Amino acid sequence: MQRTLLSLTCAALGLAGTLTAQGTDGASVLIRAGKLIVAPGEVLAGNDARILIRNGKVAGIGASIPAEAARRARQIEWADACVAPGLVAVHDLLDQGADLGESIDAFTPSLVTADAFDPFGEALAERPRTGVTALALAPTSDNTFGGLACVVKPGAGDMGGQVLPNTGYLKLALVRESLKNDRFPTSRMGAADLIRSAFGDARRPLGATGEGTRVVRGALEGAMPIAIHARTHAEMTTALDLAAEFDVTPILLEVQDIEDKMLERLRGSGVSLALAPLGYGSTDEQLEMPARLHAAGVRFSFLATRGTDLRRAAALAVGRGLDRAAALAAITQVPAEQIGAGERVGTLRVGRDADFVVLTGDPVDLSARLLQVWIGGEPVHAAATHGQEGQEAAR
Amino acid sequence: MIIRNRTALRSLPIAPALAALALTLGLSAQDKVTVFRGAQVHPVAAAPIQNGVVVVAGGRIVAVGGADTKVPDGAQVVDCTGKFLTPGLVDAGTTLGVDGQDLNEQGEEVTPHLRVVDALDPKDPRLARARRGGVTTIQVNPGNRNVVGGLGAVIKTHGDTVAEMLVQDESGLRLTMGSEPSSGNRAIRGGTPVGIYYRRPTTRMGVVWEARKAFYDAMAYQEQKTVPEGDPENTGYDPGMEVLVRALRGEVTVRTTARAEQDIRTAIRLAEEFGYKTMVEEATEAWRVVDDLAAAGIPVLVAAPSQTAAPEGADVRYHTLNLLAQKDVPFAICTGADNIGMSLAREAMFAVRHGLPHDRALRAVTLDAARLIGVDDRVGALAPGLEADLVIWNGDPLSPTTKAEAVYIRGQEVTP
Repeated sequence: MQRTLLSLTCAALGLAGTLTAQGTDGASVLIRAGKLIVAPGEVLAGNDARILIRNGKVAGIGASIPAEAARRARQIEWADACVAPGLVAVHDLLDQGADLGESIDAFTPSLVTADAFDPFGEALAERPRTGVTALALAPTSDNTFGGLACVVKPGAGDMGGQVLPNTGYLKLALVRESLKNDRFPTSRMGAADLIRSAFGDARRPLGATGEGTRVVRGALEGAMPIAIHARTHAEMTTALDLAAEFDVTPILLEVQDIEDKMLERLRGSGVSLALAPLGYGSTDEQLEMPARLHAAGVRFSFLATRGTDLRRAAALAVGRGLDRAAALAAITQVPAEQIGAGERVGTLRVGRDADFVVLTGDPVDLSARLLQVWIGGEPVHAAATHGQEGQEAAR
Repeated sequence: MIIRNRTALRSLPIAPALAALALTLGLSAQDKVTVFRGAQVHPVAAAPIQNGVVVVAGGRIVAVGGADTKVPDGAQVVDCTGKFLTPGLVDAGTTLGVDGQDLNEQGEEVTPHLRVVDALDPKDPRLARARRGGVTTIQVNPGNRNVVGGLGAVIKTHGDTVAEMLVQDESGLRLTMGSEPSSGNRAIRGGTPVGIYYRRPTTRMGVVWEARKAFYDAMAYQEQKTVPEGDPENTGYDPGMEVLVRALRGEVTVRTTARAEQDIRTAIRLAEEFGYKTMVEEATEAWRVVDDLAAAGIPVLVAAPSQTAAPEGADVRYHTLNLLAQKDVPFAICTGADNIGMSLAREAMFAVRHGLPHDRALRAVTLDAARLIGVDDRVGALAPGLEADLVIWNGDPLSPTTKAEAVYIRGQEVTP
């Protein structure tokens, strides 16, 4: 029933986006670029660097686009530019924090952030300026079980943003701010107990039958990912111990430091990470961590908070030895998969949403200028023009 | 200390006698053999040995004896000439490794099933400090702000994960007498009650009432478990009640914090009333109740004998441990809940200064402590079969001028 409720909510809120898609129905666009990054590590160049868009989706890429379809489409050419998947943010509050933490009770897994989503919010409209085309609107970390994070996208023009149905994750928190002195739990010991009893109830056939338990049961059965906000080594320890106890593979949010033994523990565990934002103030250990994680085969994405951006995090990590494709994956494909939206966003494979960025160079290169951002086959952001971002040639 | 024969170890076969011994302990031939030679060895379970030898393999002690003890060729030798060698110290009651905020779950007053290991921080610098002071095994407990605080655990002071550190999980249930559990609560005296702290207990009387109610609830829970599941009379699984039931059956020791005389008497009374196994912890005024403790056969865990003042205004007397020893009350020395900046060896030293025999004081922070927390089959002494937790001191471990030069846990050096 919970999934139905969620879908209904998402469907209602998603109406705006659907209309946008219908606006381009019937018309296709063929974009030629200097370089097309279909997915991290899959780059098309020269004549193959082209993408066909129809109904807001990627309808074809490279040489496989039928000549007839290519000819009939509206033509856009950015000969010197690079087209890459739009960036994806694993965790965003969209400046709506006050609406996203129902902290009277620490156990609120059935709260849905889509219910507090403002499709016309300023923060949402601003996200494309840093290349972000999809993000998970997450509950705050005020509760041990905060609720369901929903994946949303900014919209084009006046249409407002949309919610992607059947995506998102269940968010848990073990960080200090989830502990309050006026309700259970006040301690990490209590938070661990709350998680253990909730997971235990969900697994027990005759366990508690509340709506919250049903949501937790769904998550344990794989209906949606589980993300745990665990910042410190101690919090990560608790999170991993509980994950092992219940045989789940969560995403750990805002991870700051990882020692060698912790890295060994993560290797092959299936647990993935969302790393604390990297900036110019980050320590050497933090800057070098992405390369270490990649070498160990641990999947990770980058987080961005206000005042930081995903491209900068990826670029700083590349500067410290991270593979360029892995850095791009950490801000596109991996976060898309972590938030349960890998089938729709994060790459530009055929059938995925036509969400992409157009830059003067590689997205992981900070000297590359962001020219345009498209979501659902529609431009939602364009840099101020100085005549250098290519021209549209209508046939 | 000088380490010799490092290269020889790789090329030479292990002596057959030791290999046989190793086999009985389930060790493989590849296990490194280390010999500690030349120290004044204090096995604790036996008399001290001058110029002794301790042989370690596979993380366990395989032999303890005099200079003529048979040693395999090619073993790594640690020269301990002029040093003292003791088992790693055991702190039978502490809160090391857990952040202050995480020790007490104040959301409820009775939280039997909460587990302190869930809040353990393996990187807590206080654990490293205790280790440098020769402490290798500790019982870490929940705090004393709840009437029933939860389950403690025995852990090693070294390791990267809880699983690596854990010696014995759920090794004691925290019960607290006295004024501490009621100190944060408020009675409703007019006005609008707000917040979770408007609750019982607000008095000593209320504390005991909560404790008694918890155990009566557990007895009722045990009875209703005979009702089939699905029957409305069966209210289902309750993890807290499960723990209390185990305590009533004697499967989990109730560790009762009690400092003042009246609270120690209450601890004895409650244990007799419900028949659970208990020990009195902190026990500042145990000197006043020593005959009753002896009669009830309740062990005592004295926290920080060097303290000059205790919470609740309890009267500190420095002869407490001597009295307990004289009356044959089993006891150990621990650092307790307020352990900031404390050293367990120094606490034992303090007991010696006030008349406790040296060997008894050393036992109180090793074997007797291990016995109280039920891990003396694994640690607490230097004897074949026990885990190789040992400390090399540059002098008498109970002297203030002595330093722990090297600390080994399961045969691995873990210092600095």
